[in-house]
Formats: sequence, C-alpha cells, structure tokens
Amino acid sequence: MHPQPDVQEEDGLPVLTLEDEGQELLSILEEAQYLILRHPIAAQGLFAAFVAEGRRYAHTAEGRRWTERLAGSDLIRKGRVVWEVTTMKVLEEDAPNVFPSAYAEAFAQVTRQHPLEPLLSRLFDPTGDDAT
Amino acid sequence: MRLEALETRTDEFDERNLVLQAVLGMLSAAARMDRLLDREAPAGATSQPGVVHAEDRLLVEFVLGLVSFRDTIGRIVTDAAMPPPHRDVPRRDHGATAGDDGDGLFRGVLR
Repeated sequence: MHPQPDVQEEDGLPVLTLEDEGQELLSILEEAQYLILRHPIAAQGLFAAFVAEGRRYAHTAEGRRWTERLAGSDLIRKGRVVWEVTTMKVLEEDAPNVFPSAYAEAFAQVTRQHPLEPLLSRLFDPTGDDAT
Repeated sequence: MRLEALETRTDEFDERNLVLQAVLGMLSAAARMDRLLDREAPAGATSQPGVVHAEDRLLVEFVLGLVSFRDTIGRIVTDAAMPPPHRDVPRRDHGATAGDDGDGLFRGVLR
C-alpha cells in the first residue's frame, strides 16, 4: 500500500515512485492523518515548536527573504487547503519553551561533553539536583 | 563472557546507527524540501512579495520553522564533519536567531 522508495536521481536521494498518483498521494495524506490522530500531543508539540521557530526566524534577514518567497506561492495558497483538510485543523499554535533547533543544538553540544556519562546520569536524577 | 561483550558492542553499534540513520533521514528530508521549495516557491516569482495573508500565517511560520531547523542541522553536520582544530570556531546559537547564510552553507553540505 505504501509507495516504495526507489533510487533514481543523480544525487542518489530516494525518490517516491507513484504508480496510481492520486491514490498513492491520498494514502500518504491518510497516513499523516493517522499519525496526527494516533499521536495528537506529539503532533501538536512538534507543530507549535516549528511555528514558534518560524516566527522567530521570520525576524532575521534570511527569514524575511523566505517569507517573501513563500507568501505568494501556490505552495502556501493551495497548500493551506491541503494542510487544513489533512490535519483537520486540529493543530494550533502554542507557546513552546524550546525551539526544534535548540534541541538539535543541545544534542550536538552534549556529544562534545567530556566525560559524557556524569551529565547524562543527571537525566535520571529524580531530585533534579545539579550536584555531581 | 565474549558473547556478552559482543552483544554490548552490537547494542552500541545499533544505538549509534540509529542516530546516524536519523541524521541521514533529516539530511535527505532537508534536501528534498530544498528542491520542493525551489520548484514550488521559487525566489522572485511572487507578485506580492512579503504579504502573508492571515489565514496563511500559521502554515508560512511552520514552513519557516522547517527552513530554520534545516539550517541548524546543516551547521551541526558541517561542524561535525570538520577536522578537530576547526571545531571550536564560535558559531551562532541556532537557526531561528540568525540564518543569513545558512541556505548556502547547507546546500554546500548536501550537493
């Protein structure tokens, strides 16, 4: 039922080969709907975090350029309809404490810690005591 | 005893491999997103640049968040791929705070 990825392009990235394009695209959208309904809290958290990061990014020079690109595009104008139908408008903006990039940066910074174990062991400290 | 050691190493390999797969997956998704944006929202193709209608705002900000995150992942991967002496060069905090050259930098990693 799921489209099978097939390596076809020059850069070697996997490419979805759709035999019955309409049906296969619907299957992917249904899969997205299923994921949102099955994991609503995670989906909401991810969505809100990316929206918050995007809002902050929009204040940078590069973010403004991207906003201009996106604002008048079919990707957004038509994409909003697809988005609302697919997500059933259940995803809302929220105020997350941490942006997705902050998670990625934190992950990378932790990998540079020496030694690593004392820091990680504090994740399991129920008291939250910082003392090592 | 040897079997335990082997199992430990296998577990360690699997764990590391999962991270590797996740990073590769993000790089692949980012490259795919780059191409999608180039195709569907090419630079300079809009008649009303910068005008975001209220009903489109959330989706635009969500996509901007993805772009910012893509820049951050690109910087992290670039940093990780650098030889050790160059790893401590001061860097920006993350994509949402500044991404002025992130687009070009990340494309350099992927292409």
